[in-house]
Amino acid sequence: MAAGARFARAVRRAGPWLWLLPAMTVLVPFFLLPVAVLLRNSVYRDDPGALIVPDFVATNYLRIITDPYYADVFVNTLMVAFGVSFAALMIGYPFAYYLVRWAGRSRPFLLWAVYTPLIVSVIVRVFGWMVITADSGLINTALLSMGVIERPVRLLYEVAGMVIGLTHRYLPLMVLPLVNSMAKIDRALLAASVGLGAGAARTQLYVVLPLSIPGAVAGFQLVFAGVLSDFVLPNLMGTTRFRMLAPTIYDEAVANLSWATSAAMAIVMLLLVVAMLVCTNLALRRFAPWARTL
Amino acid sequence: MIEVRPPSAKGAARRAAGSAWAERPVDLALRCVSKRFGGVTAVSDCLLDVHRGEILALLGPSGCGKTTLLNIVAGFEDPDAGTVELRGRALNEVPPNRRETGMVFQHYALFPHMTVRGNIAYGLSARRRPRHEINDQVDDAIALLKLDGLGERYPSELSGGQKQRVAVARALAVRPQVLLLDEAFSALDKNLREEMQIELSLLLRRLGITTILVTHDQREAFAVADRIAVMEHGRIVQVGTPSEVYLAPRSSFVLEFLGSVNLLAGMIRGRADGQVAQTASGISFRPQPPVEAPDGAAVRIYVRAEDVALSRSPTAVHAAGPGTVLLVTFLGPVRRVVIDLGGQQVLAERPAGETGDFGAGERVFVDFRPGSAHVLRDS
Amino acid sequence: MTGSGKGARRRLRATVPLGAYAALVCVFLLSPLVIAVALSFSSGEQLAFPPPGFSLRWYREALATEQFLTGVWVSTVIALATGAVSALGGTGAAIAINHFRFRGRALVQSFVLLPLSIPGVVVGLGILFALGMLGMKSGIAAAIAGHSVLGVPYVTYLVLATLSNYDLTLEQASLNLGAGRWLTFRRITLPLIAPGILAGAICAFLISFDNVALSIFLTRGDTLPLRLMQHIQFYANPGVAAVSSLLVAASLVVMLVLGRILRRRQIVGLAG
Repeated sequence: MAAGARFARAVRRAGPWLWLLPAMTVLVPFFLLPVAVLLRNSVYRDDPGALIVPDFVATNYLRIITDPYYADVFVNTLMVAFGVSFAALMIGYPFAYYLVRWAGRSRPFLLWAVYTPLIVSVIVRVFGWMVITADSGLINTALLSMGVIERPVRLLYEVAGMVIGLTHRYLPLMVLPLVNSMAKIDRALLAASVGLGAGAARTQLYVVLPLSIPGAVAGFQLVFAGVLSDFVLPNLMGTTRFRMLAPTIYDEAVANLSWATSAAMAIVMLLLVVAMLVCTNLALRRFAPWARTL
Repeated sequence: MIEVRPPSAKGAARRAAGSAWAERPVDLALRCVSKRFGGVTAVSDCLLDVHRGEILALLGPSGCGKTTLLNIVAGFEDPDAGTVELRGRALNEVPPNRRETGMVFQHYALFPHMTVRGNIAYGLSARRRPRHEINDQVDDAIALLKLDGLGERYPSELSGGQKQRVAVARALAVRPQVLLLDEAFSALDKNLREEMQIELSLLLRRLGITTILVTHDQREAFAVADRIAVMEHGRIVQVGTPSEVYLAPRSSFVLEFLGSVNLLAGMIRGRADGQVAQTASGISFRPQPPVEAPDGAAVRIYVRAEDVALSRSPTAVHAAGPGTVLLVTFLGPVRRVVIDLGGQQVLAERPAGETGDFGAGERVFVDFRPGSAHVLRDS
Repeated sequence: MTGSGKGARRRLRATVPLGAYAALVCVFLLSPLVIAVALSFSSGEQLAFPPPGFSLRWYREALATEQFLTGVWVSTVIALATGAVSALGGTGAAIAINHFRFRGRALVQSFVLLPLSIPGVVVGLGILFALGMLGMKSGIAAAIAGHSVLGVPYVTYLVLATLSNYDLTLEQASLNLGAGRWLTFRRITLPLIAPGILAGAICAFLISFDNVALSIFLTRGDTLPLRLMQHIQFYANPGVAAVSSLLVAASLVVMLVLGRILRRRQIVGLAG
């Protein structure tokens, strides 16, 4: 009896770890170990003969930060990430506001319009944009036939086309958290604000806007991290004259076999995402201390 | 000087009332059960016998450990010390699913994805009973709890009272050796609650099933239980029939928890004709039984609100006062009168007709009913 | 009377421009999908829009393209396996985190959910480096493992959300009625969290099926998205549009199913 009880107690104590076993079987060898190897490789040395040699050097990091060839990649990527996040916020905020407050019967359709692109393959979306932005595509054909322009405006395979594609890809990830945070605002709060003598504009400024900050921050985080590490859009719609981070890491690792350099770049990408998350969460705590951070 | 005399031999009658249960066999025995969560003692050294067919209420304020004790009986918590025995079988090493206890949960915990029939049949099918037997027993339980016609409904389609019936039917269907009710009436509206209390106490007595009822509601414990175990800070401080714990409370906690009382500070004065407890304003009470305290020891004198009588003139022999009426509130069968008696607030509860015409600001004389005072030594 | 009329007019003044704006955003969101589908019925060779005529030739051509067919096959296998592995791992992790109080629980929870906030490229590159140590080569197995790193936290997250409405006393009730731990899990826990698991598995499937960031490192370029990418880069013709349209159709079906599952969850009501 006592032995049985001890066994039962041991099983109960092991319980959570048994439940965790399948997840850990995936995450330890294919997540924890890879990130550790990535860290290790980032301080090893690239070698033309032996691919990568054990060492402990900071040269990879120094080079990717100081060498303009690499530094430009980071600057480009950060600029685009900021730009697209900002654009998505500007486009998404009024849209989310309309969706939550005014849309009424068209709300399901608007939500559907946000969710559908998310579920459709990104390649399909990019392909659609290529048809729209190509030299013989929808925009140029329309503008040419209206006589607004004489020669096609080059959008595809330029920064402009890539930014359009990125904005489209990540706009739903901005809209959904915004909708979420705005929908959570209690209607009674708005009534209370108006009841206390505030007009519609004042209510908007002092009640709705602050209470939607957490959604905006969450959306910003999702969009920024997404754009920072996007591979498909720079690859298909961008230009090699304006290189972006993810494709560069891929080229370094797979085409140039510079494992140490690519590892260092990946680690810096990771650090940039972490830094962004920390900064935005600090900002959220500063400007919206009542909100729970992620 | 006013003196309140003790009443005649009430104690003997009291002692006789509780003894009926002692002749029945003990179904559930808790022996020195203790349980700590971190640094907090939830249950401490609990001793309790529940006899066959008895309905015992564990009564206490929230956080007193009564639910923890119930969970220990059901096997959801392991006690740190002590044993639990059900019909002579030690339960400590028995997993909850082999304990043969039937529990009705506070919010019923009905399986939302199963019909009423499915819920009631669950315990029987877990025991791998043959299907026809399950069907028969489910039919019986449905008839017993008057759930006819609701068998194919889902819990979300039931009213609160119906849910409670299903929860009881589900627990009874497996023929448990002891039924555990965890605040089982607290989710019901007042009227329905009283109705169900009557119906369920009749049913449980008819079935003769040993029952433990956990509640924080004194009225509920009185309405349903044969005996009451009052708990405070994880300890069982008094066990007895409802009238025993009400009329002979053993501690100030039990006194204060059961009904509204007035607390008067007093002092022991030894006199030739026996012990007297006297308040600062000069009202004297005869402690019954006498308090073990030396002359001059501080004591607390409790008088229940219903033991305070009021009159306009100082005709009553034991009246104190006069005081001033501060507030009169109507509580249905009684009126509650709040009186300022020389700086001390006194509560009186009188039948509604009797004090109908007292008004705030009036002068009244307060009369503490003879023998109504409970005198406890200050700790 | 006048007050409400004024209010209504003010309302109108606010909504009409905002509504038009919202419609414009919808056009922005949906136009690439609509155009990809429209172009798939083109009779022309180029990505020109509007297309010169209607034909089904690109569907015929796409369905005859070996690379697309194997791509669909490979991606489906990877995505199905990822869905299954993620459902298993994520459900287990969610139950461990929700049902137990153990030392390191908070750490475990952050670790399991961490891959959600780490760029896919970083994970992909890391796994590529680690494959040798694990005795593996790039291919379907590596892709399944890699995609599951993203799928497990997704399912964990969704099942945890489902469990937040789930009353643990239901399990106590089941035990009390004589059912053992396993029977309780099978008959109470599993049916009640099944919608969350299913939604999570479908999300994991979709993430895997559409994944590029990990697949470029872990496969031999034979998944459907990678095939399509190569195709777009080398022959920009409406063949991709045909495949795209089929994918859009499939996505809409998945979305309907997902919506149905999530709605049913609300009807049943987990709290009872």
